[in-house]
Formats: sequence, C-alpha cells, structure tokens
Amino acid sequence: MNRFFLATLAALPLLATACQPRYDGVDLTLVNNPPVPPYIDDTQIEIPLGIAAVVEVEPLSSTRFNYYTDDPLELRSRDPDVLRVEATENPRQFVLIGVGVGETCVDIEVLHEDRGCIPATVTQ
Amino acid sequence: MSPMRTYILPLMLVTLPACGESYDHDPAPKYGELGVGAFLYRCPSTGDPFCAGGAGTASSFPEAFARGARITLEYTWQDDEDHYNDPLPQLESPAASLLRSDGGRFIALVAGYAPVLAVTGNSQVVDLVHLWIREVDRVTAIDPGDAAPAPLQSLTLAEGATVELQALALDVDGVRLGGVLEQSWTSADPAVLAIVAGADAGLVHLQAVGVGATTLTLVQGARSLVLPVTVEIAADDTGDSDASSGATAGSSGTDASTGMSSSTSASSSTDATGDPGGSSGDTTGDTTTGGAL
Repeated sequence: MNRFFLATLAALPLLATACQPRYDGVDLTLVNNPPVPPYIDDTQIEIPLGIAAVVEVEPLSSTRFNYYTDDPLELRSRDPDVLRVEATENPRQFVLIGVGVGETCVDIEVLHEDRGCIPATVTQ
Repeated sequence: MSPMRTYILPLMLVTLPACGESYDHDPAPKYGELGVGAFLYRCPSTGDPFCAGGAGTASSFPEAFARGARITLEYTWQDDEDHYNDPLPQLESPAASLLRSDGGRFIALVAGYAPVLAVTGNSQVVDLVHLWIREVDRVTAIDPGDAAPAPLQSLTLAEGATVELQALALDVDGVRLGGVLEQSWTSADPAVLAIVAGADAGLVHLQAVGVGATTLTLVQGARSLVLPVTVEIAADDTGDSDASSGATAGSSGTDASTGMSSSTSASSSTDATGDPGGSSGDTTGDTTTGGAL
C-alpha cells in the first residue's frame, strides 16, 4: 500500500507534464495591410522604416495539448530604438514598428518562459 | 386597410431610421487599420486648404502630408459598440525621428511613411494609421471660392477690388499636401497691392489699392511662388468689390463682377533659396512674364 502510494506520488509530476503543451515555436500572421509590406515569419522579421505591422502570434505545441488563449505570451524587442513592440487589446496581437534602421531580436516568452528570439531587421 | 394599420405603418417608417443609429458622424474619416475607429484631420488654423469654410474637421483626409508641416489629428470610435462610451485614446507617434509629437500635434520630419498609434490609458494599441509624408515640390496659389481651382499664374485686379488667395503645397506628382507649413505672403509694392489680412496664413486677403504692376510672393516652407499682379483702372470706377465671391481661376479670363482676372501661364515657382523648381534643380516650366489678360 505504502509503495503504491509512493509510486503514484512520483508519477504525478510526469502525468502533469504530459498533459501540458510542449512549446514548438510560434506562428506569426500579419493582421493589417501596411502601405509597404513587411516580411514576417517565425524565423525572421523584416520591416521597412516607418511601417507598423500588426501580427497575431500563436504559440505552437508539439503535443496534443495546445496552449490556452489566455496563457501569457510576451514579445519584447531587444532594441526599441530599432524595432518597437507594442501590446494591443488582444493578448495575442502585437504591433511591430520599424523606428530605426538596424538589426535586433524579438524575444518570445510563453507561460513566463523564455523561448528564444526572432532576428529582426528594419530597412530604409 | 384598417385605420389602425394606416396609423402604425407611417409611424414605423418614421421610427425605423431613428433606431438605425450610426456613430459615423464625421465627414472625412480615415479608418484605422484595425477597424476600431477613425482618424480625423483637424483644422486648428485658418487658411488650411483642406479646411474650407472654417470647418473644424477637414472635408477630406489628406492623401499625403508635407514634410515639415504641423499635423493635428483626432481619433473617434466608429460603429464600435465595445468602445463607444470609452474615453478616447491618445494619439502617439512611435517613431519620433520620423514624426514628432508636439503637444497633441505632430510634426512631419522625414519623407516616407510614419505610423500614428491610438493608445488607451493602459498602454494598449487599439488602432493605427500610416501617414504618407512627401517633400513639397512646389507651392501654388488658388482661388478658394473655386470648386475645382487651378493654380494661379498671374493676377489682374481692378483698382479697389479685394480678393482672397489660398496657398497650396504640392508634391512632385501634384498631390495636394496636408499639414500647416510656415508661410508668408508679401507684396513687392504695397501701394499697388496691399495685404489686408493673413500675411502669415494660408489664406490671404488682398486689396488692389493703386494702378500699376507688382508681384505677390508666397513663401511656404522651403518653397516660394512669385505671382505677377496687375492692377488696372476699374471699368466703372466704382471702387471696392469682393473678389472672393467669384474669382476666376484657371485659364485666362476676367470676372466682370469683381474685376479680377487670372492666368495659369506665367508665374515662377522656386525654392526659398532661389533654386528654380526646388532643390532638384528642375523648373516648373513657367517663367515670370506677366499674365496676358
């Protein structure tokens, strides 16, 4: 009895982990129609100077358990003098704005965990 | 049809439009790219060619804005029940090097595109618009009373007549540019042509005070326009008349009611440094030869 209880207790964290989504990248979809089109995907962001691109960000899971829409998701620019990232009312939508020619990286945080960054370039 | 039906039917027809409430009260909105509301071009100063008749909001949102111009915008919720009673968002320029915020106004610093964000009190972007900023290629003077005004190239007035002229900035493609630029009107000979009002506004009020020939110079931003002016003896010698009520613009002609005539063939347009046609060095093709009227 005691051994069975201990085995169950030990398996609980594994079960809990197995029922969670496992991060497998993000899907970025352009929402607005800027006058000069940017190039945006999960590996690269390229935005002309003075252009604001609204993107819908969907975290992907490699398990059959997907992220909930209210799971915290953050995008942050490492250099806001090159690319600014602004939040919108929709927690899955962000505004990426080219404010200075140069290169930077956009950090992605899902469920408060750092998930790497997407290289970003602002062109003239 | 029963009398009751004959009463109810017209009542329904009258009531229906009242129920179909629309928030789209603004004459010339530019809808935001997130579809939540609309951006309005405001008219803080007199003499803005987009703000005819002293309107508080432009009758049309400018397609493009002059580099160096001051731009006043406002945001309004449009047909959006989620926000209709919410406080209006603040308008911000995220790229201060392109478009600088200046106490509710913006100053267009660099030619190209510049976004304007509508931001709520909790720093969330609800909508945005891109402004197209263009270099001023040339400035023109038009008759503000003309529904389809052509740029004036010269001016002939009867002695004593008064006239209003409107400054207008154009880009290289002839697109009318919005925004307020620093500007001034000067008469080379105030004894012939006097500036009654608006010497530093977009709309100038002139009076032909003496027979003779002179020039009227409009400086707007880095560009200028020199308009030959001829003041002739009034045919009936009755003196003052209000040219703004019916000034002729476009091809050569004379408005008999005002004594004002104009031509589209003979003014010069330069940048303020004296470079004909602007910094690119090309000219508008016009020379100061005086109007044939």
